[in-house]
Amino acid sequence: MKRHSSRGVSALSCLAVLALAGCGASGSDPGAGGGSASGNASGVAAKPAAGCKSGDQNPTGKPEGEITFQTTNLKKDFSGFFTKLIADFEKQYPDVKVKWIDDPGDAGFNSRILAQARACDLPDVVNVTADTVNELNKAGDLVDIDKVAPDAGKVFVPTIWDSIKSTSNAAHPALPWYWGPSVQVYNKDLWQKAGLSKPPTTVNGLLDDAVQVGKKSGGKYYAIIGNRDWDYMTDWQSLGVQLMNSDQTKFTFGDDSKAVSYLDKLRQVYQSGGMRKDSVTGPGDPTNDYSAGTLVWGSSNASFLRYLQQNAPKVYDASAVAPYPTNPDGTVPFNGQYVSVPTNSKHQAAAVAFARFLTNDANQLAWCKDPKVVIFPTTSAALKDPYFTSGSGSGAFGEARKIAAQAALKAKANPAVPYFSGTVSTAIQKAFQQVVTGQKPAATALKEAQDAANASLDS
Amino acid sequence: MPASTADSTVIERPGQVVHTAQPAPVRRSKSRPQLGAERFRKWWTPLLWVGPSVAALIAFSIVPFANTVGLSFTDARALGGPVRSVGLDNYRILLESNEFRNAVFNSILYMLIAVPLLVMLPLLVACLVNGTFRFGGFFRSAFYIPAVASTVVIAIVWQMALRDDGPVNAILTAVTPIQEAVPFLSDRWLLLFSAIALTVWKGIGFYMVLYLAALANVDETLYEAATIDGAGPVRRFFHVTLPGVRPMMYVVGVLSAIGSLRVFSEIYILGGPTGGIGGQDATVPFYIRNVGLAVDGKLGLGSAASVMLFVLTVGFLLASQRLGSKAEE
Repeated sequence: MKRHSSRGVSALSCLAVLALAGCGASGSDPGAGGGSASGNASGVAAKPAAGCKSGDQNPTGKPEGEITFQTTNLKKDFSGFFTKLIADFEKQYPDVKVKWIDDPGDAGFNSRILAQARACDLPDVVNVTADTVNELNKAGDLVDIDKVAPDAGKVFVPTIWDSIKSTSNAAHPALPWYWGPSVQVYNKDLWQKAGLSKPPTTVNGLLDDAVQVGKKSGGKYYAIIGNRDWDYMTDWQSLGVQLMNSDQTKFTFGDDSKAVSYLDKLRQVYQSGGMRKDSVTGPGDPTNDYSAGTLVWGSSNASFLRYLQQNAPKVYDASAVAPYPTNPDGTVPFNGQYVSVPTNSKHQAAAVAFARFLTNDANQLAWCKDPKVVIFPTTSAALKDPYFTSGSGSGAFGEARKIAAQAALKAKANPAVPYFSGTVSTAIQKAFQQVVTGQKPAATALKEAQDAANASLDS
Repeated sequence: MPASTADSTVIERPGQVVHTAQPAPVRRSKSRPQLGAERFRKWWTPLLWVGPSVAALIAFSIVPFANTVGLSFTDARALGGPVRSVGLDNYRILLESNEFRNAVFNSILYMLIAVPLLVMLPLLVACLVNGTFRFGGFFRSAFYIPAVASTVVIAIVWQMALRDDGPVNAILTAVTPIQEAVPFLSDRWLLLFSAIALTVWKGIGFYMVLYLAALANVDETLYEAATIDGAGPVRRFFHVTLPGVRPMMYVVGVLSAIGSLRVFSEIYILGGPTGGIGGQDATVPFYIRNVGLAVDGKLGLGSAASVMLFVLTVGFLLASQRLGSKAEE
């Protein structure tokens, strides 16, 4: 019996090891635990302290060699565009060969990028977002574009280029690529039902209107969704909330009365019925609710109108657009996609040349004109193209394109924004939920979120 | 019979060796040619069969696990940078963290509710659909469908059904005195119970198949004898079926317990990326994901939480194994 027991214990232990130590997120076991995040926080070995060694001793030399270009979920829809772009580049640089790979951009994207970075095996040219640029730059993993191509920034909107300079090492670790400025998209029919007269011009005005929608709607429709993850950062910038101190070493949003007041107003919207109660923990994307005709304000990203036009034409016809409230200085927040060249690249000159080619004026404009996409360029000349200034397209769609392009010329990145990701973002979302549902006072919840955010910086 | 050898091994016919009561090393003439399957019977042949599995186990489970244990004593970050040893600090932080304690509580509660249901309900369903009867195949397949479908897809369907303005609330407010939508997705307990219900519903089909296999091995004559002795269906279930499938019940208990402690997708999709309002329904894997796998994640702390989850799981398994052994004695 004892022998039997010890064998059983060993077998069970092995089973547990297999269950918990495996890195897979496949979640293949049915029933309980059908989908697991993985019981293992690490699957890769620790990396050297000072970032990856430079893979190229002559980054300003002649562009040559084979480079890998990684995009995020673009191959499915834009294979033709990028294949042609790569062919054009290879024609211009016959000594360079570009291999294009596409990450699916799913929930595992960050984990894969982290694994590549820790193994010093990032692609030569990689499409990343601001938070990833920030973390990779802090780890010393990205080439400073200013050092290898000092004139690279001339084509971009000056406010964008100047504002994306890293405050930690005064480097430009990435080139800005495509993005979508915020616009207000609203349902005119519901708007009128709620007795609203004109689009709000401030964030506080928008939330006041949302309260009014809640009072008038009787639960038949709502003003906004409760998960503010997509919009709160734009709103806070518009309100002038002090996100961090000047050198980005401490979070300060919890001490700012404007942030506290913003959350109090959100709670009023919740209490008035201006948001569906369970949308507080639901998806951050309002597209489904807006498409169903039960939401007054839709996504602030103009590209969402394309989806609406194709999938909910009646709601599209009832939609109107207006400028999104700007920052106190009249600028609008820039939060776009970036292209970086990692230091582990063995062909940095070729990689930088390709990154510049990809983000140049002509290629950005060409891609923006692709009928399958609604994006905006980061180069000044492209934004002044008649395609944007004349509001090409009909109805709300054309109007949104015009408004967004005008706003894009005044765009500016806030250096604190990339820090509001990962654990910091989660802490803030939790605070929002607790305040909106009345579980905690705004000042307390924000202070706790700020402490959690600062703890993540300290350690 | 061919000649006997000096070491008591008898060669029945070429290629076959039969050991007698005194086993001894088999000695064969090197000059004799090996025939048939014997040609492939080298000492290293078994290694070829188990080698790939063992290598995969080492590479994808044992090494990452050892790495996790090592990292749990450091302040490693997700994106690298200097790594310092911090001793037991990460474990201290976890034990002092309300968030982690809440996650452990949720995981254990999840397991305590889901496991008994996943042990008993599939058995009852298996008993119902066992044997040959009209549409039996249809019912067996129908119960198994949720096990085939992706957890994420099922959770999304449940999320749509349980929303404040979803069909479940529409029915409840229409046919019951309930006036307001039941907050299945935003109430601390209702969200947890909804996720458990989803887990149980999805698991019934899979574990039913395991029980069907076990039921096929229960001796029919026992049922016949019990019936002759006057036992009704209930007594037959408790006195014949249950003892017959007890080993399988233990297996189902272990598998569903491990699964319950790893639960993530159900909470994530029903309760959002925070795991319910303010993260109050987050489980341990949820906690690990939030602290360790974000772009600014603390790999060391996440690894320590992974080790704690491992200890929790093994502790539970050892305890249940001990209880099982005592019950058998």
